[in-house]
Amino acid sequence: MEVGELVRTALYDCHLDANAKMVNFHGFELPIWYTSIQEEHLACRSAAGMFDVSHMGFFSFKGNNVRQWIESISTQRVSSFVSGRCGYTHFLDHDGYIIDDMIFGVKSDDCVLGVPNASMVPIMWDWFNSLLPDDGSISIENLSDETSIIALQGPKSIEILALALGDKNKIGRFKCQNIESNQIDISGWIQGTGYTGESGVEIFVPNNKAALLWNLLIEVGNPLGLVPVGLGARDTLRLEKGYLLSGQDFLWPGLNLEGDSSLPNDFLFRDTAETNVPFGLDIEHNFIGRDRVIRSLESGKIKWHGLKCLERGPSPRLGHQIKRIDSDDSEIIGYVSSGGPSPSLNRTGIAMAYLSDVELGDEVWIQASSRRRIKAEVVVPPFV
Amino acid sequence: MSQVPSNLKYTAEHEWVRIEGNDAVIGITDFAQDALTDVVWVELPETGVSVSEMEACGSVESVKSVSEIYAPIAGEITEVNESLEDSPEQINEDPYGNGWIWRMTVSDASQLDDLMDAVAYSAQLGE
Repeated sequence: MEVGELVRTALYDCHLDANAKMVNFHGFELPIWYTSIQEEHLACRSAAGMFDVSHMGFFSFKGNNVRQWIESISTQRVSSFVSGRCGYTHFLDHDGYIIDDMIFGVKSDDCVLGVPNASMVPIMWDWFNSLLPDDGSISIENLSDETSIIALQGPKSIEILALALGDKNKIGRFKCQNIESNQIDISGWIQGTGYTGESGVEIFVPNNKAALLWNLLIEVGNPLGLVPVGLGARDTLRLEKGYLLSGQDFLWPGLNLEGDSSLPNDFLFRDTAETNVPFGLDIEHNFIGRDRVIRSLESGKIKWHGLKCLERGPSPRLGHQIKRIDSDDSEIIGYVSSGGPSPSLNRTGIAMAYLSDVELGDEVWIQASSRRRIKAEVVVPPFV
Repeated sequence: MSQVPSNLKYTAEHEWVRIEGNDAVIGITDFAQDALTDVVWVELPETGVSVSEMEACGSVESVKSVSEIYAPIAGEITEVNESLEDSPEQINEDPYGNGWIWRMTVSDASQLDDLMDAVAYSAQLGE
């Protein structure tokens, strides 16, 4: 990729055909929306939505003890995942800061497939390679460029999947398999994962088959309410479930990136315990960065919490200050990392924020603009 | 293609101004509402406040982003469209009518000459 040149996925023409508004997303030219964020969001919650997530990475890890090796560098107890199961994990650096999070699927006893975040593919590639055992027992392959990924999400998604690819490819939550024989002779990988909190799948296929699958899914899914969904609604859907977004809710210090200027410099440098995410952390095993996680668990001072606005007003957004009381002089107890109006909750403002010394149910104040503070309650996500 | 009524004046930031007697009525253009998509919240200025030319005095929020609204001219805010607090979608549905945002006095009529007419604004939009 040349600097400044946007990468187009294999589904680029499909997006244009669907009247997508395209934007630059981490160097990829992808749809932000097709009709509207609100409509696409609600369609995914009530029926089904389809996403081009081909910008995400796709790595294959192979070797006799591949799960044990991944476990030694990740927060998740990967060795407890049998073939056909998916999991979620963080990778921490030696100081305990999150580099990236990743969904993985165990293909067989000696093969694990992983989906690193788009902007982190080169970083994670280097990180994994730097940690490979000297004996050559583990190998990694980067399949990102040759693989297209279509996410099919929503309560009708599995029904649509069965219509398109047959009952043998109906797959449950956090299960995975090779794509079984089907009417369009497409091969690849399918897993019961996603970023919306709905039931659904992510389908990994060769680039030259991506449009065929996309068009088939639209054709059979459209009567059931399936619509293409852009990155805008992808973000509001994950926010309603309180899922972390790499680079937005945590940022690896090693990237030396300038964060949002409204946040303190190191505000997004976090470990897994601070993110408070209820899955993906097993402290019983040894892994890189564990010491900081243990310290954060013991102190429990700062955690990523949900905030639900108790009054109407401007929505919480990245960098907004959280105040203990309704006063300009109030102590600042944290900042919003992700926020916005919730399409499912009639546009009530919701946010995720790193907060110090708060308890569930506490009422706090979000400085939502220079002119307005909004009262909000500390809650546990998901919001819907 | 966006609607650009010929009887209005425009700013480069996509506000429109309609002169009604001695007052000016302010809103955002059809192009702006289309670019924002679903407006979910409008932060209105306070009545009685004096604002200067191009001062940020409110905001329009869509699901994805927030945009400041600037006063196209100096003056005093005399009335705000409070119905937008309950029905912000009026900005999408009728940006030049029910989606008006505030009414203000005109402190210096010469500032109106700095605004674009419909032809110039259309040219800026490239339409």
